[in-house]
Amino acid sequence: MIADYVEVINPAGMHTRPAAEIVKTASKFKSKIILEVDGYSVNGKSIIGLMTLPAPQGTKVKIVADGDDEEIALKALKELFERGFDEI
Amino acid sequence: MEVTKKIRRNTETILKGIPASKGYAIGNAFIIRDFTINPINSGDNISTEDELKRFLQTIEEYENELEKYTKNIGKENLLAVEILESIKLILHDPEIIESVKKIINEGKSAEYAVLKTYQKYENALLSVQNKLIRERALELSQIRNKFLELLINKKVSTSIPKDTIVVATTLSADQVIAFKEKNIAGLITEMGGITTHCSILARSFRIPMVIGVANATKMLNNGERILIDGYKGIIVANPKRKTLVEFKSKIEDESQLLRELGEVIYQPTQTRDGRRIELHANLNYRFELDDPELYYTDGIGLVRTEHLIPIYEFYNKGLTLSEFEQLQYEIYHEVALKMFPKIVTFRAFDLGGDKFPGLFALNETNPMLGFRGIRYLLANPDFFKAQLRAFLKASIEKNVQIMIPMITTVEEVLDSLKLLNECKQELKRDGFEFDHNLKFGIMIETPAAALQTGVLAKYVDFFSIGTNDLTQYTLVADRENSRVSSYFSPFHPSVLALMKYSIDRAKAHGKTVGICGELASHPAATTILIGLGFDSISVSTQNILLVKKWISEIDSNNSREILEKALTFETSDQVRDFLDIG
Repeated sequence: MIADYVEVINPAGMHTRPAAEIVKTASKFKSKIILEVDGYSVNGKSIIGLMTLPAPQGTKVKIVADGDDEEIALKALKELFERGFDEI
Repeated sequence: MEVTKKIRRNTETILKGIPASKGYAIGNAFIIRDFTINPINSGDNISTEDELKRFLQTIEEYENELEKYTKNIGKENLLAVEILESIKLILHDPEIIESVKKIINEGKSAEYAVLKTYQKYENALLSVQNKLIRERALELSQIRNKFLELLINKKVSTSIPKDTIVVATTLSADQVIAFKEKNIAGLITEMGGITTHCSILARSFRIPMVIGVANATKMLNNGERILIDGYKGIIVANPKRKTLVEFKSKIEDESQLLRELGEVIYQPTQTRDGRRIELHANLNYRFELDDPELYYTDGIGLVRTEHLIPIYEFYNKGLTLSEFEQLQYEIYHEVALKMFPKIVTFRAFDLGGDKFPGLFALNETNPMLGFRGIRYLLANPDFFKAQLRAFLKASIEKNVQIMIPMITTVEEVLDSLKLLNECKQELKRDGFEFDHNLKFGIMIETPAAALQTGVLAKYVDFFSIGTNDLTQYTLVADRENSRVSSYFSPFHPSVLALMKYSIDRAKAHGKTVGICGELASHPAATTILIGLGFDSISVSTQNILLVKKWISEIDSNNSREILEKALTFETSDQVRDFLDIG
């Protein structure tokens, strides 16, 4: 199991469209993906879980990946956050 | 017990709701009644295996239907495609599937399991502070209803006559798409938010829609003649002949305007070469919130609160400051909610000067150079703070920003920020919610502020240039005074140079600059404003559509060249001649 922190940088924050992007990316991997904000964690492959995660611009998000492909899964998700979900 | 009475047939009745998609429609009511499901608990004739199979088949069936819609809509309506895509993700959400399977395995029916699971997540979404997320809960309930409908195999009637106005409690995204394919005339729902899928889709298909019409499905009768005013959020059932004639002439006016302006009004405001300009409206009075033009803006760039708020009442009725704060909050919040999710910029009271001379009776020999704007506010800190607190409380949906008028010194900005911070602390202490990142800006309407833009930029989030005051204070000319009004010219080289200097300094500090004033109400002047590099332009509602069209015809590179040329002239008349402004 590995984990890392990322920041939400796009102005609109993590609304429905970015949540959909996260699910699509996370679902490409076998690993279990967990996203955590201030101790509240959700399944990274669940759009409904992500929608309940309050993450406006500037929020620090912890990404946890656990499984055979955890390295590339974490890398892909980090890149998605760093691109601002392609919204900037 | 049924408390809601049906409206009487053949009696004109007006119902109010929230405008969700602009436009007018005439048609006949088609009521969609909610179906109720009777969840079956574990019983002798339920097979867990069958229920699981039925659940998984329904996901597939729902998905096939979405595929079909995606194909019919075509890729160019990206918004609709993305919405359909997000519904698919919800159908396949691992948490939802797991929860449904778990309940089925406990011996419950698929319907019951789907209902319970979706309701659990709807409630989770409803408990979130953010209004945008709460609206997602409604979407989830629409997907749930549609899912149950497929599960129970109860389909929406497929034969829908021409000129139909659909009346429903709520509608799912795919229902809106299905109705669009039947060429319905308009939509009315009892619930809904302006940012929910069905509203977004209605706007993208240009189907007039009014939401939030309480008990619409119970009060209206099938087949009744209905008018929809999607600008004001009003519906009229059984219109009288006179109402109908008036309504038809409104439709005629609307279609003539739309024909003249063409496609451009549906697009975001941008120059011909694609430079995005935020187009905002100025707002003075509450009734202006009904102006249909507000739909084509990016928000309100200037709320003149000294007009919006009945200040006379405060002074004459002897309200306490906290009552006055509450009165202000209610009005500001109404404006913010009406415009949500678009941004509303409130300007603090600009009192004194030529405004409300009777109220203040300061008897200054030179009021325009006297105790006005921020000077009055800082001298009355409790009065100022009541307004700042009202702004903060109204910012709960995060679509409010504020600005301060008549700045001439850096101290005024620092003192205002100090009071704003005090207000934030007080509200926090008293348990009020507000937007902690509320943006704070100032007006540039004096040469002093324009020349110190670079310094002021350190303390503020944005600037707004007020051309009328900047012109009168630069040229020392009151445009209301006929003896000197000929001196009043926003095209005077010194005014253009000041604006250019101020904008360049602001941009160098990464701050946005808007303009509010009616300078933009001429095509050539609009070109100059684009050339100057304004990020946003705020004009009165009646000019919105024209300015939008002009901007779309301007090439931003060309406008910079025109500005450079204009800056080489020595007199306002030369600039006016060059721009061909009479």
